[in-house]
Amino acid sequence: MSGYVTFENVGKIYKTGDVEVTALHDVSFTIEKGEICIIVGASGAGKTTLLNILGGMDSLTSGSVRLDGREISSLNKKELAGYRREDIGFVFQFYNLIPNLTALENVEIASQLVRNSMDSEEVLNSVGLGHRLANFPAQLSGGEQQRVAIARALAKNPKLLLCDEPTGALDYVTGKAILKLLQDYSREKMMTVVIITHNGALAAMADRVIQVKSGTASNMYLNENPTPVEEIEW
Amino acid sequence: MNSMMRKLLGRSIKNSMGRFLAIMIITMLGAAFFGGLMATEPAFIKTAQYFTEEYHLYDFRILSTYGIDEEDIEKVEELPQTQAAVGSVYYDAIVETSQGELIVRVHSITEGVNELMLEEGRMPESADECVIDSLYFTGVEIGDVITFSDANEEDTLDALAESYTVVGKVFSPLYMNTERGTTSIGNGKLASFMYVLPESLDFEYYTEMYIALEGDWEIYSDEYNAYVDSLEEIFKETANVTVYARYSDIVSEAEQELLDGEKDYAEGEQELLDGEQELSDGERELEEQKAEGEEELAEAWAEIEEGRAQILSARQELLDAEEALADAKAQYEEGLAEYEEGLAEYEEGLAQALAGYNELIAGESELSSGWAQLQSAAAQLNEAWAQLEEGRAELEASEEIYNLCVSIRSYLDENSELLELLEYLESSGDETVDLDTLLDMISDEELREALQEAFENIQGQIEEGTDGESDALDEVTGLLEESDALDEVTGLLEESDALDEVTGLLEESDALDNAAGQVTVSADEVLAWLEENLGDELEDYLSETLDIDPDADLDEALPELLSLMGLEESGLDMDTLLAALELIGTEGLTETLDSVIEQYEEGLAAYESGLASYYEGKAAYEQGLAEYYDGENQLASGWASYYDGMLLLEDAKAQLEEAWQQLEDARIQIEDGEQEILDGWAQLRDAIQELIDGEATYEDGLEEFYALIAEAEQKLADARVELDDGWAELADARKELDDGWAELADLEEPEIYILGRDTLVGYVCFEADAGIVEAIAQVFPVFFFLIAALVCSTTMTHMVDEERGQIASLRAMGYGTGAVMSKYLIYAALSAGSGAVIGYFGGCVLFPLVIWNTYSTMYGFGSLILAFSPQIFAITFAAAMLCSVGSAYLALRQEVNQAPAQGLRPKAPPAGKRIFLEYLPFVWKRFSFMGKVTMRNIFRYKKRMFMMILGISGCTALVITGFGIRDSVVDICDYQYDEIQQMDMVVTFQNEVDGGLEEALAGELSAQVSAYAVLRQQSVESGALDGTTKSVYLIASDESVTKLVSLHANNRELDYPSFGEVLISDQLAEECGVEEGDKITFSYGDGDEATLTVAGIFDNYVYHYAYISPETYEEYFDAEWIANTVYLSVSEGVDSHELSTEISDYDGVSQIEIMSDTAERVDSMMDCMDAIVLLIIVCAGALAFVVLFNLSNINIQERVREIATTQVLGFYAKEVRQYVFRENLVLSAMGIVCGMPMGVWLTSFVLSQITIDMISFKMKIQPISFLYGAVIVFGFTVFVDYVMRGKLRRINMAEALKSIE
Repeated sequence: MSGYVTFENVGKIYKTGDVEVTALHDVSFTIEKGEICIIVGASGAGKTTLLNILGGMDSLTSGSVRLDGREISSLNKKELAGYRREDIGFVFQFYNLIPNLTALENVEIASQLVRNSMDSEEVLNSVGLGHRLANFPAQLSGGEQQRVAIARALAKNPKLLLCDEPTGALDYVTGKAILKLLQDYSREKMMTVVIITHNGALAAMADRVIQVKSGTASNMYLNENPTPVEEIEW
Repeated sequence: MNSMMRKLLGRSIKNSMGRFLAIMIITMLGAAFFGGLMATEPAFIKTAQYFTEEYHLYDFRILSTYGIDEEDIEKVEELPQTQAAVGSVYYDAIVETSQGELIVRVHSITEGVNELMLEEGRMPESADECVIDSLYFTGVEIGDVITFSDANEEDTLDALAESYTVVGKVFSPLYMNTERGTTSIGNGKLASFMYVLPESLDFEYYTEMYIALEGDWEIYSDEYNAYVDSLEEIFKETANVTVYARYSDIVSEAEQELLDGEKDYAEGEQELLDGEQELSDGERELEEQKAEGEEELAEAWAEIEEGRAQILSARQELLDAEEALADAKAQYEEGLAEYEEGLAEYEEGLAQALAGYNELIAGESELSSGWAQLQSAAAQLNEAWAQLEEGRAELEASEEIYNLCVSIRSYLDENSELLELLEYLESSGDETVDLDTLLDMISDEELREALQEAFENIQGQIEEGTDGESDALDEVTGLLEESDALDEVTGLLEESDALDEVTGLLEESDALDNAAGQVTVSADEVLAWLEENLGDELEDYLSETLDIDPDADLDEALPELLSLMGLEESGLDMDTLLAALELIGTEGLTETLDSVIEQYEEGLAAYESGLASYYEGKAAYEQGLAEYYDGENQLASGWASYYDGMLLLEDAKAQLEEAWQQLEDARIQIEDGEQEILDGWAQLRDAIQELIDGEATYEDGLEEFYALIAEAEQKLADARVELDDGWAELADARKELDDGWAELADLEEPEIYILGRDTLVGYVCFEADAGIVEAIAQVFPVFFFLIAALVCSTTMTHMVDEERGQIASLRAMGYGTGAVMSKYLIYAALSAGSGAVIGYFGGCVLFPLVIWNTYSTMYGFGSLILAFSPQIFAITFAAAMLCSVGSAYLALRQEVNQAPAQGLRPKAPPAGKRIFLEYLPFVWKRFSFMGKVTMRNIFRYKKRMFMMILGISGCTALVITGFGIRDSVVDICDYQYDEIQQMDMVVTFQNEVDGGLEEALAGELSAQVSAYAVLRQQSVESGALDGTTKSVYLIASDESVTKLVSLHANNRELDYPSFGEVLISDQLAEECGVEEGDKITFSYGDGDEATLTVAGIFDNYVYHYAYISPETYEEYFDAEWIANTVYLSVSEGVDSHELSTEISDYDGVSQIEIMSDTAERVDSMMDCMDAIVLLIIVCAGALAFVVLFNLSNINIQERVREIATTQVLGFYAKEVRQYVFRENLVLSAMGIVCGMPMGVWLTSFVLSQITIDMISFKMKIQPISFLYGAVIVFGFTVFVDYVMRGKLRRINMAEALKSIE
């Protein structure tokens, strides 16, 4: 079984004192390059842990994770930081923009980290924020902030775009626009996008859907005809 | 507050222990610093107070120029204010220890005042025991015996016991610090002190009196000072009365003594004058003797020289004489030889003369015999004539025979018969024809006879004549020929010079020669005549007469003759003839006939020749006669010449004799001469010996003479030296007397000095040193506390912010405001309060002890008594509470004033904003992206920024102040004693610079001294603004002093003041409030004043100084300018202490201050500062750490999401750290930059607060100190960042980003 992203029997146990909490166990799936993959599951199902592991923000207890053939599970802290820097783009629910930087600067702080970055202004233009370049996050609306966050993630030209409930803090319209942006981007740039959501309705827009339940991938299927975001209602 | 709240509080403290401790520690530090420093000075004073009370430090010290005696003390004791009054005496002595010599002050132990603090051993109990300085009496231990060096002054040794046994070590109130004071012996510096019982010292008067007053007063207090001032006059007057009485006694005594001295002096002078007279007499005498002696010697020498010349000339003469004598001798020898030759000649001549005489006698006899012969010859001639006549007759007769014979012959020739006769004759020829027979045959008788007779005659004649004549002649001739000897005599005599006279005489005797010649001539003539005449005559005579050849054989001739004669005569016929012929043979006959013919012819010829001979003979006879006469004449003249010769010989003899005589004389003379020469040599030798002796004598004499002279001169020189010594002594005596008189004249009325504790170096220094601490305590703790408060406030505010959700929840739950607030207020109060209490008490103990520890090397009196002040504690505690609880309250009030709902929402982090820098594109563009981020972050949290900058700048300021104080203080010595007062030594004279030091400085000491100035230094006073009077050193000097003192301000040399102007030191100007161009008034003497224009204010650190010119001094201070001080610098490599001992030997030198010692003293005072400075630096560093740690902590806590975001974005750990700490570094840098001017200000403020009298602290912070400050603070920043790394590492990205609170 080989794909662009490969999870093989991944298990994750948190240890706090004497208490062991199994967050993931025996998770196995693959994602192909250029796909939009949506991981759905209830709160506490372990989807964020899964994403954190895939994003190099957390380590795994067992199994292995590969991206583009590279073994991630065996990387050390510094290699993980390099992995995040080079290969991964993150979009968070609460944007996590740096408040002290303008929209452009928030993109630049990421684009400066990598060699083959995209032009920050261009990226912001492409996300429709060409007119708000010099605004601080506090001066932007939530959707705009999330666009800046997406632009920041895209500017690094990552192999994998990971989005953790990107619409969670947004209203319906804005959320839709954001998802549209992601879908368009994936289609245009053959970008592999992994979106985590608890909203099952969004699965329609994905090429691949992975259902997570109780710490493991309970179901995985391919959408032969993904629905454009505009047509999805939730 | 219910139990839940208490639980909350407990958990809050537990969870944020770091914060709780931070508040506690910062408060503690502030409290410790404030309380500790504030308590230090009181603790010091308290300690000193205890010490002075315990050991009864004097309040007054009275000295008089006439000493102190029991009476004085009693009078003072009677005063009601007196608690105790004790007389004291001290001696400065050089003590010998195992480690060398120490200059020590030996005090008498005083009871009741200035009691000693025994540190070891026990107090002295007997006169030979002592206690010593516990600090500086190096090399001596208890039990050792102290002795004193012989180099000590006589008086000192007399006063002290021979030795003391050390029984204890003490601390004396008189030596509260390390300063041991100065002395007039040795190098002028006391090394230590010791105490002995008064009874072990031998003294007349006490040196001083110490008085302790009744009552307890706080030391250094104004009350005490005022009290003491008020009593000063009373005590002084009391002492004055008794001392004055003593003065009168002394004056009269001294006068009497001086008068006696004058008398002695006059006597001494007279003695010396007599001595001078004697000396000059002696000198004159010596000169005379010397001249005389030299003259004598010169004469003697001249004599010797003359003698030597004489000897030389005599020797020459002798040599000449010897030469002449040798010549004379040679001449004599020659003369003698000549004489002897002459004599020989003479004798020969005499012999010859005698021979001549004999010859003459013989000649005379010959002559006479010749005469006889002549007579006979005449007779013979006559006879011969007669014969000739006969012969002629015969011939004429025989002519017929002849004719016959010729006819016979011719017959015979024709007839043989004749021949036969002849043959006969011939035949009978063998037989001897006897004459008789022959004659018989001759028939003619006559003829026969005649013939016979004739024959016999002739025979006889021949025999006689021949013999006699020739023999005599031969003899005469021989004699005369032999007379050549006479010539030789003459020759010899001619050759003899000595016999010139003889020779002359002999030469004159030609007559002798003539005589000789004549003798010879006459003899020759005689001989010749005889030979010619007599011989021929005789032969002719014979042949003519006899007609026979005498030589023919008579036997043969006779028959013929007979035949001839017979025949002739007988006429024989021819027969007979023939018969005869037949007899004689024909031949005989022919021969006979021939012979007859021949005979006839011959006879004819003979006759004719006889005739001729006769005539000849006759002529010869006549000639012989004439010759005879001539001979006679000649003989006569021979006689004459003989006599003449004899005369000559006589003369010659006489001459010879004379010559002999002369020779004899000459010989005698020569002998005499030789003798004389020998005598001369002998004399010469004697003379030389004499000369040598003379010379030796002369040398001896010379030596002796000079020895005598030298001796005499030495004696005189000795006498001179003695006299000079005498004069010098006299001069000294004069000087002493003059000094004595001058002293007596100058003898001032007794001067009473009353001195308080303010003249006790240790006492005064202690106050000053304690003051340093006080000054620092006034500034630093406050500043420190401010920062602590700031930190507290920030921390509390942050805590409140952090827990705003909790606060809101509690409030929402219905908890009252008070209840909610109380949690935080109690939290703050607990942490700050505990910190304040611990800090205060800890500081009050620790700080004074630490500082005391450094001070105790200087002030050794006992252990520190701590002083706790309730007021200070209250202030400390209140301030701590105010800062912590107050700031918490302020933060809470804001929080509780808003609706709880608002509080529940997360407090939005401060929004991003453009900062002012962004409006300056040329600056903003230069920042890197991260730089921009950093800058914006810095300005985003403004409060934090200000806190950070303030805290860090405060710490920086403190550190810089610490270093700055050190710099300013540490270098005071260098500035004052290297840059300003560059001299190495200050020599103070008792009255006036004299004793030859000034000349010595220009002369023998010039090599050791590089520069010096002679000046007047005097203490004057000037009123300060605060009403006190400041003591000022007034230097009245010409400009030469600027070689040794640099009068400058702001690195610019000031012009030396001109007339009426003064240069004053800066602190004086400041305290008196005067500036350049203002007037300043100095008071001196008994209230006189001088007002001068300030021409300049120069930098100075220690003491107050005013410089004026001598002219200004004389005019404005109304006194003669008398130099009393010498400033001097030693040359490189010269030891100041060694030079000082050398200089201290000069008269009038009272004190030598070696500047390096002074500098050392000031330096050691400054060492105390070092400890305080170190304390400040350490505390400031701690403060910096706490501030940085706290603020960094808050910073990270506030920005954890942001940091997590950067991590998610892929920032490496290093990049994250940079992202966070870059701000800290920048803020630190800003704080440091801001802190520097603050530090400068703080330094100057602190220095202005430190008032050590006479020392001006001027801020002088070295650049390196700024660097130290920056490095220390920056170092803490880096250290804090390092500590914070862990905290960054521990941030969990996932956790941090997940929640939004």
